[in-house]
Amino acid sequence: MELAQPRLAAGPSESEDGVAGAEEQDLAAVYSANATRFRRLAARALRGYGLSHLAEDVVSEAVLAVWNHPPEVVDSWAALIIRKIRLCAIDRGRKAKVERADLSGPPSSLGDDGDSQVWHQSRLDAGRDIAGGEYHDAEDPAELVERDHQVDAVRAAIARLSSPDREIVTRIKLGEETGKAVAIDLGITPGRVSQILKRAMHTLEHDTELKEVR
Amino acid sequence: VNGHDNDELVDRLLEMEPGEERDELLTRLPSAVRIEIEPLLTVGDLAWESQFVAPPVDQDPIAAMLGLVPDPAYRLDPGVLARARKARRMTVGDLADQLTRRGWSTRGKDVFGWESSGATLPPATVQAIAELLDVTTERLTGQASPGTSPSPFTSTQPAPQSTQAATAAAARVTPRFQAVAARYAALVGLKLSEASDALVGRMLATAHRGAPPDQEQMLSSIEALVEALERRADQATDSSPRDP
Repeated sequence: MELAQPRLAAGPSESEDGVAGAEEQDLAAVYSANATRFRRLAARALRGYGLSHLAEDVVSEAVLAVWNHPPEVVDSWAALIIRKIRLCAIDRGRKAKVERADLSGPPSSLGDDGDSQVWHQSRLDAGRDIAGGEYHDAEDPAELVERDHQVDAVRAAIARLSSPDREIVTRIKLGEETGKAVAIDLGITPGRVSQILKRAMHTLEHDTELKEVR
Repeated sequence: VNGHDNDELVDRLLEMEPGEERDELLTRLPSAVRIEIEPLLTVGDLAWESQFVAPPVDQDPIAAMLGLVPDPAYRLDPGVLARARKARRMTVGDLADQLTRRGWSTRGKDVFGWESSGATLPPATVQAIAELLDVTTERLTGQASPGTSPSPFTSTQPAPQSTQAATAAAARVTPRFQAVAARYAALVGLKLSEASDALVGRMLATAHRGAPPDQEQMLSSIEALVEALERRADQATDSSPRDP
């Protein structure tokens, strides 16, 4: 009985985080080590389209695509999944834009207008389609690890904030409520909310000692 | 742009999500203010991302599909594991290193623990161990029927009662089964382990209706079952009354 795990044919050495390319790595192991990172990447890629709630779906779609159609040669499962997530997010965003514009037909029916060109360029930037071909590492999964460390540091720093600061940061930066709405709800002025938010953000920056991230 | 305008602009920026509009607004600030505010925007973006985390492994359909959900029915047999490792002339550290190279972060003391008291590991990890030690996963987990494997290692756990049970047991640890089980669990609101048990029962029931099926037939039968249930659920949703 075999699980027939897709595995790497060959590649460079592995990092402790399990995201760099590796010799003979298992796809399942790579997913296990990066499940949260993939979701954060998907959420970030979808945010500009107002679709971050679809992050879970996009990760599923990307991993399933790689699982069902693994390339014959791959340097890094993580890089491959990262690229697929970006492509899936672009496609979802594009589809949503079309639906919002109340246009009928698939994206290709829009013609070669500027928007279509942006979409095609975005896909090109995100990489070649991986299905059935060879894929060589053009992504940098190490950046994902670095950013994930920063996110975790900020998350921990939020937990250390005073209760009023934490509430305002959580509601405005995570819940995406407006400062005005939070002010009304808390019975304070919008100016006071801005003050607290700014103070809290300075505290977070100081506590996390951010390095340069994209 | 005076100081008051700057303050208002900063307040707006701190509430905005990343994108062209925010970038454009940022350029309106004097460089000294911009340098101060940019790290705060980065912190805000990171804070926003922090709310996205993977679901617990037993609630993650992708994890189930990849064989990452530990299954108590497939507990490592400590004696078989130790004998297989020694037969390959590997130390516990060697096995841990090789697993780590495949992406399964493992220490020598983990392997020692598995060999001392057994362990319930994800099926995908068991598969990796089996491949490294050149034994079957059935043998490692005490699921092999007597005489079905040329392996020289003897299980210390009782073997399944029948060939059908062994076939169903082998089917259960495949990614295909895990994927169907995840769909079934979501459909009927069961835990993954409960859904898996139910589907194994279904596979064994299939075996009693005629000639003993092979693994492919067993998996096809439960896939057909779950697809039918999903179709029925979809139809029920479509025909349910909607709010005006």
